[in-house]
Amino acid sequence: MRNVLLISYILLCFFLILFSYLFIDRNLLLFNRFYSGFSLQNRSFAAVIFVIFITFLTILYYRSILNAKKNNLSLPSIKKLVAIVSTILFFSYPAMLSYDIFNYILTAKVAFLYHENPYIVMPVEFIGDSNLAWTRAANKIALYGPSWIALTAIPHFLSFNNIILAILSFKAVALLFYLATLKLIFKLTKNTLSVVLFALSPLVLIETLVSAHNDIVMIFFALLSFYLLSKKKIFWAAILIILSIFIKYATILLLPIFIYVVLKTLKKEKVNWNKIFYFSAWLMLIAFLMSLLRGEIYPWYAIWPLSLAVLVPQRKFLLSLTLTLSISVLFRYIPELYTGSYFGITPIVRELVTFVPVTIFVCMWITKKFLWLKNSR
Amino acid sequence: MLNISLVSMRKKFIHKTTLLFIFLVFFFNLQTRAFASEYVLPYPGFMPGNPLYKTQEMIDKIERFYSFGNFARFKYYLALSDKKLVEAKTLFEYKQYLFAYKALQQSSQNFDQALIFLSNAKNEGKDVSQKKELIKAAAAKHIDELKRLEGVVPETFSWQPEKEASTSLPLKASIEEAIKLREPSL
Repeated sequence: MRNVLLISYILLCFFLILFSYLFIDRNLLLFNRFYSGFSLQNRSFAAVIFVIFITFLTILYYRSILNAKKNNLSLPSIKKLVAIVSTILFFSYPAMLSYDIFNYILTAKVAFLYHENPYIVMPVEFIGDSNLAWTRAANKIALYGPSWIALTAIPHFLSFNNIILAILSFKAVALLFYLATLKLIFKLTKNTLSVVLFALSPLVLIETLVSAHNDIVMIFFALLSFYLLSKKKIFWAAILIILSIFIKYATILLLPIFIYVVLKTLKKEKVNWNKIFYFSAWLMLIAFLMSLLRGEIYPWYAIWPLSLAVLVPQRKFLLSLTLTLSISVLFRYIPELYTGSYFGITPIVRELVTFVPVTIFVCMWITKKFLWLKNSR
Repeated sequence: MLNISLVSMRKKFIHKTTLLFIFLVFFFNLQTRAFASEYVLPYPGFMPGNPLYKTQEMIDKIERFYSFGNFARFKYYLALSDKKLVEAKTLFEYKQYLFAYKALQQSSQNFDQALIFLSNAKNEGKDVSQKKELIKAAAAKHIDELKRLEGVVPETFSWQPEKEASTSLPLKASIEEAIKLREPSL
């Protein structure tokens, strides 16, 4: 069974990276040889293929969770699976669904090549820069915190101003933080189920290993700060939570819980970490929903509540809710993939595919609880 | 007879209309004001005498450190120049000539700094064509405002501080100097 799972993941990831190269930007001349324009000319087919990928990834994910629950998936097996999956997906084209990686690369260039403040000077002001041809939203100042900007110095200098090396460097950053987060999840929970729940989540695989979003970096620092807090290293925990906040700001909602734990630690009182992670997950879910106020919910934001919900798998409602959400948000890409437009019917369909499954789940859960309560009387 | 007079009246009308049309075409083609009017100056901020004026000045100074890089510094100094010009204009209107004179000098100094950082950016190899257009528009707008002020301020103003000798502020000369500083950018 384990071998079947492994082979299935290998094949699926292999086809996923092939599929990702159908989305190469026409202006990315270094990838010219691979450009086919397939995704633009065959939108409906691309959308259907994407649905098939999500479906198969979800099936394999479900099988992995069942195996982990039955203790059929040992830690060495999980490590092997993760190593193989992450190595394969490392070579996927990162701008299949989101162009954020190009924004990371160009913002780093603004800061470290042009020596300009990326919070004042937009990438589009550097007329003639080759990266502008394939970077979207270059007419915005830096959206992320100074911790992220500082961190991007490493992949920037490792890229030697070459776009392929830059893509690989930024993907390497995402990969390293992904692996480090998995190690941290195991350290926090000593539970292989928690590791599997996060490591093999279709959302995490696509948004972290394919698209290389920086949410994994923010989550890693937040979890590391909790880990150090559990070891009573308050000072370093505080540094890390601040670092996390200054990656992408969402973890600022964890501050009240952080301060609560610090006070308890100083008073030498026992900390119920399960409760801490449980409430933290709900706070991150609120952060996820609050992104609506900013304009739009992006699928990769669902990683925030998922990363904390997996730490308390015994909290079934929370876990099931975040898992349902983590799958349904991936379907947000379908309307735009199919129509090629962000307007018209796309916004409505996007919200429907995200929130209808979650609503159905919540209603079913409430009904089940209500019936259970009724029967137990 | 009547037909001949109608025809001649018609000819005169066409002749005058054609001349008017040609005049209007040349008139609008010679106008350069449209370019300056696209550049928008900021609203007046806190004025001297307001309790928050000094705080605002401090924030402006701190912002200088935040604005690292030649493009960022260019934007910073140009924005500050605009702000001080609006401040000067408002103070001149309220006949607060000492403060207005100082604000105008600061505006010119900041404009000069903006030009220096633009030149530095060009030396770094950055494409400054867009920024040049921006400073051209800014210069045109500044000159517009300064010329309006020139018409209403006195030649000089004698400032008499308490227990000190009076100082004569050359208001019109300072406005002319400010215009001369900005003209090469057009």
